[in-house]
Amino acid sequence: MLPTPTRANAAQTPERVEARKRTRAALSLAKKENLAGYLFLLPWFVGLLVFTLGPIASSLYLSFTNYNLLGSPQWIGLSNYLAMVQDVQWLHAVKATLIYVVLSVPLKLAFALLVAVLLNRGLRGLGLYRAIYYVPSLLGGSVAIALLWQQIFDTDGLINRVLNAIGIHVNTSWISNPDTALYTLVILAVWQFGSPMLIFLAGLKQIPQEYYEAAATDGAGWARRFFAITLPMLTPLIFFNLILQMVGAFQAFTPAFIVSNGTGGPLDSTLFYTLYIYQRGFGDLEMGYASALAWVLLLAVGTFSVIAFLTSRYWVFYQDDRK
Amino acid sequence: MSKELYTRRQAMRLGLGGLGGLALLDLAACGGQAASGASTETLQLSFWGNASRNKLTRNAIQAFQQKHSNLVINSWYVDFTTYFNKLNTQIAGGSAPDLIQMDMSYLAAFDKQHLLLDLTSYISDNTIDMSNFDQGMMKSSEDNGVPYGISLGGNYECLAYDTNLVQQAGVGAPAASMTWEEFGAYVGKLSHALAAQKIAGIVDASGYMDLFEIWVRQRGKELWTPDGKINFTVDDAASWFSYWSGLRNSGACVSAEVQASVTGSGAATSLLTKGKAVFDITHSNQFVGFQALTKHTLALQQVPGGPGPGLFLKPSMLLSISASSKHAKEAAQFINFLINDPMGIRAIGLDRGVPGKPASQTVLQSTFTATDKTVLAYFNAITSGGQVTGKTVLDPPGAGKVMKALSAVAQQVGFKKLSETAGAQAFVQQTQQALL
Amino acid sequence: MSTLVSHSTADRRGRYRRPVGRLLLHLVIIAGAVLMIYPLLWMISGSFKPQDLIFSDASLFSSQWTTSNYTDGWNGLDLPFSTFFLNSLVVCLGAVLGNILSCSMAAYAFARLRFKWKPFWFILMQISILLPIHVLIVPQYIIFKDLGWINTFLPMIVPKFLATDAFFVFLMIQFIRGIPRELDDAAKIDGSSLFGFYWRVLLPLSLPALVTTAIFTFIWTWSDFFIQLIFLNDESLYTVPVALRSFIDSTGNSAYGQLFAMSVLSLLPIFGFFLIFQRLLLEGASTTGIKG
Repeated sequence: MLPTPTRANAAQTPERVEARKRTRAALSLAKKENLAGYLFLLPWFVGLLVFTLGPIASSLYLSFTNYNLLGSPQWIGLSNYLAMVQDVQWLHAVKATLIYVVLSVPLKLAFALLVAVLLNRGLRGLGLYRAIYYVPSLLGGSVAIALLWQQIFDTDGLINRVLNAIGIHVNTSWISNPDTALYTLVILAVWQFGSPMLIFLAGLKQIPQEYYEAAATDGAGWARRFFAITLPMLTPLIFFNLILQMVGAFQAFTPAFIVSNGTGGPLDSTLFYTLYIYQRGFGDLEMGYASALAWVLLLAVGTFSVIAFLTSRYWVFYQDDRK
Repeated sequence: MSKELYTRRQAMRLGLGGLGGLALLDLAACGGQAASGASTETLQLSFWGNASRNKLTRNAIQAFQQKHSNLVINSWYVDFTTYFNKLNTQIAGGSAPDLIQMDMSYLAAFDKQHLLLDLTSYISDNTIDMSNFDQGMMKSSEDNGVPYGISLGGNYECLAYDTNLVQQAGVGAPAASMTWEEFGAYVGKLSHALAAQKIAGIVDASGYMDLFEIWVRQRGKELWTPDGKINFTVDDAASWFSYWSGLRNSGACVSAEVQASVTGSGAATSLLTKGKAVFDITHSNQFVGFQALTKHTLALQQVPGGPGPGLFLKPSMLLSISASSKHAKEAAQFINFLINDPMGIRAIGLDRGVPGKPASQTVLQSTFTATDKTVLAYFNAITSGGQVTGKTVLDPPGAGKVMKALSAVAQQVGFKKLSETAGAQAFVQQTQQALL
Repeated sequence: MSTLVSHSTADRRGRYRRPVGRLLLHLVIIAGAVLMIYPLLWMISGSFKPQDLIFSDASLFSSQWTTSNYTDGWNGLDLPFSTFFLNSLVVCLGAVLGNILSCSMAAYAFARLRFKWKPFWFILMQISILLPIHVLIVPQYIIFKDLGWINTFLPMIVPKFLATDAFFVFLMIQFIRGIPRELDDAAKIDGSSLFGFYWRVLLPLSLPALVTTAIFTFIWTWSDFFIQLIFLNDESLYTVPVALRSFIDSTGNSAYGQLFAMSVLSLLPIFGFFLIFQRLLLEGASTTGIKG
């Protein structure tokens, strides 16, 4: 960081009176700046208080109550949390969500990395390829695409038509089969690997070419170059993408809601955790229970993030500490 | 309109105006409601149904608005499956619709939370003229002896089937009345004949509460005790699940996967209109909606007979008024319009069932279509047949939850995650929990 | 600029590869690209096919073409889709305006000003990016209910004026840090106030970041479903995603062609933004992560 010129000048001024004057000016300036800082942050503070911290605290309180929005909350202690453990649907929701997160996030990152590496070979038409691979992640979260997905994997959908064309006859819907429904949503998530791919692409361009040249002179093959140079150099970005995608996957709602028509079926196989919060909170008006569910989600996301951060020191390689 | 003004005032208070929010709110206001005026009162009506019912309802509203130029009725509708979720959310949000289409299974639950208006005074001062209204239908829309809704029509549970497919299968038309066993054998033959086209004889109705209720009633009892407890047994439920497992295993009804693709209710998502099953279960009033969605000719068939009579006249589509409505009087006028004014009666026709007043049926006579006549003929045949016995116990507050529980358990049995007995036990246990 | 760099590196590395390999690589990438957008093309072609032909095969081509899916679908609900598009537009514009103003203000403070507890607030801001909305939704619903804002657009717009999308605060901080500090000091010497500096110097200089924020806010708000599903009841207030969803309820199996047609239309604004601002979007999407 550059030292600010005014300060440097102030320190070097020989005359003491002048210096004191300047210090005072700097002090009041600092005060002014402190005030200005808080003024500029005022909207953000209000938002933080009213829409983030306040709700977190009040949902913690609500999670210990029985509340249907019509009456007033009744304190019931830990009952909501205890009920959760015996709630079969909750278990289904946890299972579906974990499978979804654990499968979709690594697969998504793997595809993103693979395509980024392929695209980074200095091909002609890179711009077009990059755009095409990115488009799905731009559109993917919408209701329209979820509706499309339902049609693609339905009995007479695109997938079965293609399979039929190559001689594999499947006559059931992938969406209404409890063994496959969740995986159609995983595929939908992986299909949207475009945005981490862009980040990897930008990262790949930052890797100094000398590294590869040195490795090539040493006779290292592409696999060795990839694992010894590319991958370690990208670990900060992999880490960043991992956190972002993981938090995103825990929050997925639209695809499950649309594809299952809000039911999370068949057999709760697509009952994402967020969908279950919605069902209990806004369908059954059990706001206390929904708040308890939400707090468990918060703790889960928190735990996963902390684990990622703690383990990152063992596998994330920071080249330097520039800010 | 008043809603917009309110929010605008709120926005001002927050100083949002300066941030350009006001301009947006103005935009929002003109994007919305069509008519506006100084003295206009706006009501909201919520109902479940599909596009064709919506069209009829909007026609009725338009006719009503012509007579009451100071009233505007907005409406929204969704499929029955999501209706009560959405309604609950809206009520919890502090803005209940003025007019709420209500189902018998939810009436008690809503009354328990004091969400519905007692209609006694509007009936006694003749704002809603209930003279000559079918007494049985009237009784069914009461909770603890107080009327909380007016039925727009009665109907019977029935089966609808595709006559073209029956012809194709070449197994002959179904006999007018059959036992469950005979019926199972018949749809089995249909499935067999249509196997090449992967069309099954009937949908898997094991998760349909209305049909299960008839199954239980045919065994001589109601679903609930008079004090709102469970009145059916594990055996009742197990025999029910076993019957359907039999059909499923023999291919007489659709597979669990195919049934799982039905995530909504009504004609729009029916396997019958989708061409995957010959028979579907429905209410007689919905027949018109089914017919509208297929080019094939449909026909009505009586629910299979059991040891005793099990059918009952269901006053479907109750129209209730929200307890918090600021326009209760106007809402009552609208209800009255639908059941007494010839314009209102004609506008909704038989879509919500056969009207509770004989006079209304006379009004409709001139406009009946062929499909309407089919429905009415079926309705009258059932009424005079020996399969009907009036419902003596009304649905308890937890009935809506029980409905969901049956469909969830039936799916588990269908996918063989639970045996028929285990499913029955789970269902009984969940029912008891829902009724607590 | 970046393509130039990669071209030169390619030449250096290209010595080791034969043209056949390069051709193969192109083929693999093209095949992948086709696979990626085939579902979208299928939807577009389906939206122009008569109902009976959509599911008859997997091909994009058809013996018959029709635009009736669009005309019928447009009026498939009670109100024409123009209402829903207008509603979505209002919500999106409100959100964009809110995010641009509030996030840039917060970002300026974090990136440039010295104030007490700054590191603490900064960390808090970063954590709030990761916070799932579903954890906050119940209490937020209660707040909006008490304000009488249910069934209005306000729950979707007002929070944006309070910088609740911390992601964009973060994005702009990164950008503002790249603006030379000399400008601040010049402004200080000129005696222009901090706000004057923010308004007259910083905002114009941050235009690329502001546009990126605007575009992403627009796209995300346009596709958002959860919040709009929860807060909007009246059909006259439905936004495009909510309207699309209720399309199924009203027409069910009978109108997949119309459903496809309206789906295509609902994606057009996003796609349009992508075409117009492609470079900015791609740069934005790739740089947001670099310094993370």
